Amino acid sequence: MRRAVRFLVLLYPRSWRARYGRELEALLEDVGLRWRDLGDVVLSALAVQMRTWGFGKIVAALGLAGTLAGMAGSFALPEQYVSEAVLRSEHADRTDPIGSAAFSHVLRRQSLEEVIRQEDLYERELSQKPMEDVFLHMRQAIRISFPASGMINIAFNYDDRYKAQRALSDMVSLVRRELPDAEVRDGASLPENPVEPNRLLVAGYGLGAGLLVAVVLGLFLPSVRLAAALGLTGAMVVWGVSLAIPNRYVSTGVVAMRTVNGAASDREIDEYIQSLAAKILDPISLRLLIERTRVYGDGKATDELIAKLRRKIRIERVSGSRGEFSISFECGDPREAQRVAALLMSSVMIENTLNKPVAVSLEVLDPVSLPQTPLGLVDRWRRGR
Amino acid sequence: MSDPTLLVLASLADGDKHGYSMMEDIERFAGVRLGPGTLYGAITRLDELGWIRPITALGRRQLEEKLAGLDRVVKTGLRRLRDA
Repeated sequence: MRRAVRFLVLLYPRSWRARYGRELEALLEDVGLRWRDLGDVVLSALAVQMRTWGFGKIVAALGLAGTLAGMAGSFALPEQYVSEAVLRSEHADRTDPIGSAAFSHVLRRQSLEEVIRQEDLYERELSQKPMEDVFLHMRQAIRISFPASGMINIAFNYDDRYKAQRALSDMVSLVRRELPDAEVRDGASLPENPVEPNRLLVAGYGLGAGLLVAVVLGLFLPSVRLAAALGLTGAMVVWGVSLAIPNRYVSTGVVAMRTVNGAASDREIDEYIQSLAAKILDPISLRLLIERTRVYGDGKATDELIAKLRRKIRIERVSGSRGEFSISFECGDPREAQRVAALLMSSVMIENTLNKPVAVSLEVLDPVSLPQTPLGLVDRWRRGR
Repeated sequence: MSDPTLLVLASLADGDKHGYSMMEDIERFAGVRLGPGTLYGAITRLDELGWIRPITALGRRQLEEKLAGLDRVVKTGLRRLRDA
């Protein structure tokens, strides 16, 4: 007990201890150390400490405390896993009547209720909410996209990775029942890592909250009021600027190049990728792409827009791989990014079929992604170079 | 009544006390138990203001003003309750 009391008193600044340390020690020994007194003393010590700290120390301490609290809090958040499957079908398009009917069938209430029952999904939600709400929630957790011509990507988001995989398998079976030509290219995956919570992001929020508390607190402490006011102004300017910068998304797909005899030198691979890229990035091809996708306004392709589109497309070799290259497109809307990237991917495949200079076959390794998060500042800078 | 500085001032109004006696005194006359950290937080602030150790003339004047203010609130409240 005596040791605990001494430790508690040590939490106060040295100058404070010199004046009140012995008195507080004596008081704590007289009243005995109770849990509520423990919190009271720790908070009081922190308050006294902060009155002796400079603004930098307050910001650092509260920023660190916020980051740690955010990190710890992220473990209390439920994890979310995404299982994905890829199918190939002639009707892989929302505008195709057969495909459209099949996807509507999979997403209708009766079908999803069957999956919920089969896999015991949403047990907790069903005990609190009506089936209608749970059904709508499940629909939002399903994503159907068309990453390349003739391909369907189905993803399901759930808090149990095994159930996510089983439920998606059921949905894939439902699609195949409705689309007899559908061929499973990649069956429902067993997700290894959760997509949520993003612990770094939550820790970042904690850091932000800690810094905000530090600044607000600083405004009440006369010794650091000026620094806190400057800090607050700076933070508001940065925040305002960050709001003014629109988000950018990149959709990427990966294609593998195989030569018929299995051997191609690195130089040959590079040359072939460059020749494909040159054809895709040719001004005439880009003009057609702008007119077809209307990615920039009304589809009118000016020289400026062609140059802009060219800057947003990347066709490059995947580093460390042999014969694999990525095709990516960047724009302000994630779905638009995926749509244009899918068209680019198709153009590459068609170009290869029409004009292959050597016996080369291309295979889509990763269909173009639907980007979930916007580009960070560093990636943005890298792509902008 | 939960302003710790006011309670500490009131407790010291009749003479110096050490921490434990102050806690007991405050609990007795105000029905509030101040935690040790809160008590010494209030003492530190009052000390910095030069109002205590022992209670100074300035501290006494501040206490009188605060109590007079509270007295006005109490009297007004009681009068209005009576007249209502």
